[in-house]
This record gives sequence, C-alpha cells and structure tokens, in this order.
Amino acid sequence: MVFNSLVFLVFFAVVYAAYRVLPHKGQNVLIVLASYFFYGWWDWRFAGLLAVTSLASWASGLAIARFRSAGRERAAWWGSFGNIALNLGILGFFKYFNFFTESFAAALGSVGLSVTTPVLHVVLPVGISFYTFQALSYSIDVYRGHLAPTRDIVAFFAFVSFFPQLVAGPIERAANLLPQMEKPRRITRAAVSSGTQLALFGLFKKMVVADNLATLVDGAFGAPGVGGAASLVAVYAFAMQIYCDFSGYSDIARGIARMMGFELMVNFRLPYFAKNPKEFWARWHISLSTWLRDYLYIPLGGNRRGSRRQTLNLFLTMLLGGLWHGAAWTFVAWGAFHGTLLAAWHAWARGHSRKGAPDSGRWVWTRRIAMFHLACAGWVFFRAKGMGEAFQVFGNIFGHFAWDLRAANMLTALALLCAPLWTVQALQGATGDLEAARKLSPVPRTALWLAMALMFVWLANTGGGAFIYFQF
Amino acid sequence: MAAMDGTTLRVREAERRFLRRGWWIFPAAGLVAAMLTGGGFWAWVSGNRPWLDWRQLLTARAAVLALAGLAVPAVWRILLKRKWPGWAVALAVAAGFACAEAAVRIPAAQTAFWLAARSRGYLPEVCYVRLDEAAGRNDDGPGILLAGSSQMIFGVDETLLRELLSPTPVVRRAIAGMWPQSMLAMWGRFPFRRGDVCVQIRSAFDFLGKPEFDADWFRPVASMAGAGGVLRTAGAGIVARHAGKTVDFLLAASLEGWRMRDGMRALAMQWMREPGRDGGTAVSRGKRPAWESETWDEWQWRAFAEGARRMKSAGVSFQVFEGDVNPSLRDEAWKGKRREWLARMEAGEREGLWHLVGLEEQDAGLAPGEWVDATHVNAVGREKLTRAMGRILARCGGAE
Repeated sequence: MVFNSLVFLVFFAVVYAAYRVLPHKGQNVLIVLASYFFYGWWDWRFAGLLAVTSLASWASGLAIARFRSAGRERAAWWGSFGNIALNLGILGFFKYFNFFTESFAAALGSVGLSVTTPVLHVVLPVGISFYTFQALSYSIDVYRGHLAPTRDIVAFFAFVSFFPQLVAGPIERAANLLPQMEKPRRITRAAVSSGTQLALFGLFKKMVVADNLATLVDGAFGAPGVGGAASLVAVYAFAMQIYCDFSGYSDIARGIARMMGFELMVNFRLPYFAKNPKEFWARWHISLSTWLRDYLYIPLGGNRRGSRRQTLNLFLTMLLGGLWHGAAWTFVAWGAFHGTLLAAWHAWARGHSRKGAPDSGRWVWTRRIAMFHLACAGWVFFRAKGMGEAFQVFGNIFGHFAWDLRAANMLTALALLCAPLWTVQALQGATGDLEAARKLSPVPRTALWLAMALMFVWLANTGGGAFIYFQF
Repeated sequence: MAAMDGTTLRVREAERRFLRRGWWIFPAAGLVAAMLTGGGFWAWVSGNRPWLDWRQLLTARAAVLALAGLAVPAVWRILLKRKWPGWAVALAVAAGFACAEAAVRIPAAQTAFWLAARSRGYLPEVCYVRLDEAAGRNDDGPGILLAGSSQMIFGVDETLLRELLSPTPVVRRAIAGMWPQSMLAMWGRFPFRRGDVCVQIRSAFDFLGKPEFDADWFRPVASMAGAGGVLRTAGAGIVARHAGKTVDFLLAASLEGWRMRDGMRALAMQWMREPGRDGGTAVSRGKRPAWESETWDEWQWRAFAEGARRMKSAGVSFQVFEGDVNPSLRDEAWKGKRREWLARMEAGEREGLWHLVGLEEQDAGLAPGEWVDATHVNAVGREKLTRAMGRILARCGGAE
C-alpha cells in the first residue's frame, strides 16, 4: 500500500474517521492495528519481523532500567548489546546476506579460488532499515540514560510501527515521538489544514515531479546512444527526482501525522541550497544523518581525537551510511564519495578558520551551484546499476559532450515540472521558513495551488509508482 | 484584517519586492498566452510551418491579453495585506480550474493540442478521432459511420468506400483496440444521426481474452454518455475489483483535462518535435490469438448488446461484418470458436439488434498472400474487402 494510491486513500479515510472519535488509548491501539495492516499489505509474514523488533526493543529498555536500578551495569550493557545484536542481525541477514556472500565468492574467484556460496533468495522486507534504526535508537538512548523506558507496550509498538513514517522515515527518535504517543493529542483545525496542505504538496512532488522525471531519467541514464548533454540533464533530473520522491514521502508522512496530532521531525531543509558538504548533510535526510552522527560518528570519537581520526570517522560513517542505503558497491562508492567530500571540507574549513569564517556571504550562489554539482556527481553512483554504468555516464558527460534536441527537450521538461517547486523553494529560501507558501497573500497562493492542481490533473502519474526509498 | 506574525510579514515583504522588480512578467505572459492561442505558433511548433512570423503574433488579442496580464500585479498588490481563509483560496482555485477546463474544451484549443500531441508520436488514431470530433461532422444527411478497431483501420479504405457509395457520406471513427466495451466508453464521440448506418467489423477474438478493465485505453476518449453503460455492463464485481481504474475512467469521462493527460505528458516530455518520432499506426501486429484457451469475455458481449440497443433507439441501423483471419490459420480451434460466436451473433440478429454479414455473404475472396499477419489484411486485401463492403452496403441501400 503506497501513499499515492486509491487503496491508501480509502484506508486512511477509514482509519482517520475512527481515530477522531476514539479516546487516547483507543487511538494508540488503532494506530498499531492500522500500521500492521498497512505493513502486512505488502507481505503479512514480515509483520512478524516488525513485532519481534518492537518487542525486543521494548523488553530491552525495561531490562536495562531494571538491571541499572539493581546496580548491575554489566547486565544492563548486555541488555542493550543483545537488542542491538538481534536487530542488526535481522537487518544484516535480510539486507546484506546475498551481497556479502556474492562479494566474498567474487573476491576468492579473483585470486583463483572457487567456492560455492549458499544461495538464499532473501526478500528484503520493506522499510526494515528505517524501523530497525528507529527501534535501535530507543534502546541505546535508554542505555545511555537519555530516556526513561516506557512500560506502555501499546504506545511503544505504535512508536515503532507508526504507519505514516514506517517504511521510509523520517527515522524518528523515541525522545520526540514516544512522548507524543504516550500523552493525549490535541488535533486543531489549523493542524489539520496545514497537515493536509503538506501532504498534498508531497503528493505533487511525488506524482507530478518525481514520477515524470523518472521517465526522463530511465530513458537516458546509461542508455546506448545518449549524448553527453542528455546524460548531464539526466543526472540533474535524477537529482530532482530523488529529492522529490524522498522529500515528497517525508512531506506526506509529516502531513498525515500532523492531521493525527503528531509532529514528526523535518527530514529535508532545502538540501540543494547547501553551500558545502557539511551543510548538505545538515539539510538532506536529516533524520538519518543525525542518527549516524549520534550513534556512529560520535561513539567512534567524532572530532575529539584529532583531525586524522576525525577524517577517518567521517569517512567510515558515510561509508556505512552508503551501505545502509543498499547492498551494492555503487552505494558503497556513493558513501565513500560523500565521506571524502566531508573529510576534505573539514580539512579545508580547519585551514581557513584561522583566517576567518569559512562560510561567509561571498560567492553564495557559486558555492551552491558547485555543491549541487558535487551532489549530482554522487547521484551518478547512487542511480547507476553498477560501477560500469556510473563510469559510462561520466564518460558521456566529459568525453562526448554535445548539445542536441533530446537534451533540450529534457531540460525543458525538467524546468516545466519543477517550476512550482522552485517557486516555493525560492520563497522558503528567502524567508527561511519551510511553511512560507502557506503565508502567501491570496493571489500568489491561489495561483500556486491552481498551477499544482492543473499539473496534477494533466501530468500526474496515477499508476502508483513506488517510492525509491522503499527498497532501502 | 487579522494580525500577521513575523514570518507572514517577511513573506509579504518578499512578495512586495517581487512585484517591484517583476511586475512586467505578467503583461509579457499575456503576450505569450496570445502566442500560444494563435494557430501560427502551433503550426511552427508542430513542424508544419518552417518559420514563425512575428507580425502574426502582435495582434489586438495580444494587446488585450497583455493588459489583462497587467491587471494581475495590480490585484495582487491590492490583496497583499489580506489574509484569505483556506476555503476562499479553495474556491478561487476551483473557479480557476473550471475556467481552464472550459478553455481546453474550445475546438481551437482541441485542434491545436491534438495536432501537437500527434506530432510527438502520441497514439495517432486517438488524435485523428479527437481532431475529427473537434472539427465536427459537416455532411448533410444520414450516412455510413465506420467504427471499430484495427481490422477496420487495416481493412477498409475510407476514400475508396466513399467513392463506391457516393453521394452517401462516410465517416470513420476507428482506433486500434476499440472493442465493444471501448466503443461504449467513447459513446459520446460518435456523431450518430437518425438514419445512419453504423458499420463494424467484428470477430470472435473481439470477445475473447481481453484485459478486464482497460482504463489506459479508455482515458483519452472516454465520454460521459458512455460512462453509465460501461459501469452497468461491467457489473459491481468488476467495478469493485478495479476501483482505481473505475475512478480513472469516471474522471476521464468528466474532465477534458484528464482525457488530455497522456497527450500532455507526451508534449511535456518532448516540447520540441524530435524528427523521426512521428507516430505510425498504433496497431500492433497481431499474432495468432490463442483460441483454444481463451474464454468469452461476457462484459464485451453485454457492452456490444448495449451499444446495439442504443443505436436502435437512436434510429441508427447496425451492420456487423464478420472479421476474417489469415486463411492459413483457420484450424479446428478457430472453427470451433467461430461456430460459437456465430450462434451468439445470430441470436442477437434474431432479436433485431444488428444485421450480421457473414464471411460467405461478403465473398471478399481474400487469399493467404493478402494478409500482413494473423488478423490484418495488406493493401490488396484492403481493396478487396472495401469493394465487398461497398457492394453489400450499396445493395442494402447504404444510409436508410
């Protein structure tokens, strides 16, 4: 069941109608039931996996607190470690088993050793990386003493399985979402109105922009006979496609949650307005980048053990961040690329901090454009089916650049599809407010919604195209 | 006026700045709109005219639209300090949407759009049908209306038939894949008149193994006049199983913008016509249908009977020419299915719903070499079949 489908519309209408009339405890039970139904729609067998993750994390939280209150610190550590090992074990098996066995066999094969690897056709459960990380953050926070464990199992199950953000985030922290589950929620008219608008804007991003750009990208990315200019425009188009696909999902999730009285974290903050790699990761997939910072980069030592160690930590964190996205060498390369960019940026910033602020107001647009192109270079690895295809795209752009009609058409389509989005983003950038479009005066507000409504009717892909991040 | 918070004031200040610097965009947009609604520009875009004559673009209409464009920043500035409630914005959006919907229904806009879509390789037969529809039916009296699928497109030479039946007008509305159910969906697009003769070529495979609800096919040609019939003949089970497609179909039946959406996407993706991407016929070269394994599609039968009843009540007589297959494929499975099909067709004929013209009566004499594939004839076959059809229609008086 995907957000951009009639089935979801009916599902949400029924759930929401019931939700509005139920008391707080009943609402939480409904969230759990609806979320498991939502998840089971893909494959009901994996709902069990979700339940195991939830139960183990909830129990480990209670166990950690009990051991700690009894002064048994070592047992509390084991309680936390056991839960981490179980969750990462499940994630590792379902997501990386095939990748590692195949890569291992290929590595041995390259030195002349032939091995027979076990062949398991492991199906990847939708959203496993998201809810695993969400559940892990809870038990780690409880172990660190940042969070009190909850006894309310229904609220905890609702926190892990909350259907608006279950399969593609934002990866919520227990400190933010769990208290909202535990306390009665107030649903105001303003929240319903702004939530609806946010969800509709997300649907526009997905169904009008991302799904149409996907046809451009699929037809040109790594396809034979495509010129360098068309390849370059395809990379730009993919940059917008993945942004609109993923941030569109986040907008819908946040909008729906807001309609239900929840406030989820902001996951994207105009990422292509970033002027450097550090800022890019403070704006792109914020819930993952902050997760990696808090639970990986800082425990590795962060910037506390000298510049060399910081460089290594950044690189390792981004490498694992790349691998989190998928079990493929292209994602490893994407992570390594961003790790290198971040490490280089920090080294440069350290050198320039003595002379003044590394990020002054000069050349802002030049730096934004440069950073956008660096991000695009990373997207080539992310989108490519293999390293060969990635290098073919780079080869096309740098070796056979020629402007042709196809590239012109692709660029026109890109501009046409993104026009309302860029208008909104220009306003968001100018005012520093992500909800600025709702505060426009009547004429531009009407014009904006009318343009989006017409584009939706004329151009939206109603075929229910899957969200890219579902595969992660 | 409600008090504004800090961000709202910042947003309004940004708007004010934009109006100061960019007010000229709106009259310029009026000029562009005048250009987009002028035939000369689209003739150039479609590649039918090699150059753009700027003098044709600077007209009185352009001046009016430029002035209208100038009104936009003025109204914007007046309303700058206002804060409309959500319902007022929704109402204004709905009004704007209704205006846009009315605008795209204007025949000139339709002609421009379907010409442009056709030149981008978008289903040419759909474009031709929609272009013919925009042009309207210009003949005087009752005539012959050819309706049907690829067998009609490949099998009947419209020009030759017009000569053979002169002075009876001959009108064609044929699209590949126009099975009985599809024909019912686009019912409002057939310019039937009392006394017309509707001619269709139908074969057993028109009623065998079709997609249960082909919403993609329906979308560009759906009509409100056909919607009720489609849903009634489909039945509750099919409608429930294909709820999404049903909504899609109903939207297409109601909104021109929804009917144009596939063409719009073709246009958006290929704004400038790329040579060599003109669409040929959308007809797929048919393989031998799997007669043995396919079962009758009862929805097609119900839709066919519904269409026939509608024609009867509109005073249109209905001639069904039996469609042939490549003689080399006339095996026992085909013969069996044909027998069953003929039995059902003859039952309908006895009810007075249609007149069936069987292969024997057509006596077209099609040889194996006169076919391009399993179900479609070549140029020689087309001439033979057209002459046979002309002979039969002339004998029974053409339009009654």
